[in-house]
Amino acid sequence: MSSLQDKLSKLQGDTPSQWKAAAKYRRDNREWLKKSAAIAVKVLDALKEQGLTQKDLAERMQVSPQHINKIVKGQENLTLETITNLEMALGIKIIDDNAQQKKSAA
Amino acid sequence: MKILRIFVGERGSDGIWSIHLPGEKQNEFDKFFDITNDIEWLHNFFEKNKHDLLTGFFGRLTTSEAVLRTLEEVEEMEDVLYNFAQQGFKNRYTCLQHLFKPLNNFEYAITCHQKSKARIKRGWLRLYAIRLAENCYLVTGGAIKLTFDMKREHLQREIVKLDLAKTLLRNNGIDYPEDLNIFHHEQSTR
Repeated sequence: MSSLQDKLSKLQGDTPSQWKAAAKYRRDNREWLKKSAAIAVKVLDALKEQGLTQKDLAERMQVSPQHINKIVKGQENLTLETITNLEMALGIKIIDDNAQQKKSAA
Repeated sequence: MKILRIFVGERGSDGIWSIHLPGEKQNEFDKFFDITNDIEWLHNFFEKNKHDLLTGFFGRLTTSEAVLRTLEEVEEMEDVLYNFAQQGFKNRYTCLQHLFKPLNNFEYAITCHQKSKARIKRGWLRLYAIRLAENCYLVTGGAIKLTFDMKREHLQREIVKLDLAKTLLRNNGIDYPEDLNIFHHEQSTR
């Protein structure tokens, strides 16, 4: 062990870093996490515009506030059902299916 | 204050360490990457700092655009560090010193316990650290820097943490960067 590491080790705390595992998870799940992030941004924008809290949204959707919090953190692998419920509760479009149809028709 | 090993290379002296402040659940390195990947935290940050976002240092951006831009940056920065953690420091053309630069833009020399920052080119994310050796940095925190200077409260806190870490190192006899120590030793034995 080098003397620098030796000196640093003497100051070491006992709560190990979780970063490497967390970074690996983010890399392995990058594509859907990006989509989850984009949805979280739309939800947060809508909440702000409409002056609603996460608790209000949870009540409208009849889910727990913890579930909504997970969604707005961009960490939730959302089902189509949850996305549709979010759209209805907030009156916004998250998946623009009309745009997709127009694209296919062009 | 404690310090924690985030990852180390095959040579014991290479790697990233982080400070862990008393009363905090996480070390500063883990915390930085967790909050910059947290959409709610980012959204709140940009809402709170909307004035800086709209005054144009990076061009006028909406909160949503800023959140998505930050995610791209953090992905790039985290990838670079993850590759170091996975592949080590065998490639002599890559070292942490290429990622971390002196905190002050007009500082060109390497100095003892140098306050440093890692950033992605033209980015606003900063990871702050004290340089211990070419491939050894003690991370003290990180921030989103939307302004030219360090006057904002959240950036001032980062300066304080850099100073705290320097004091910790000095008080524990870690006085010189390792490679400068070797140089110092060689000079004195000539």
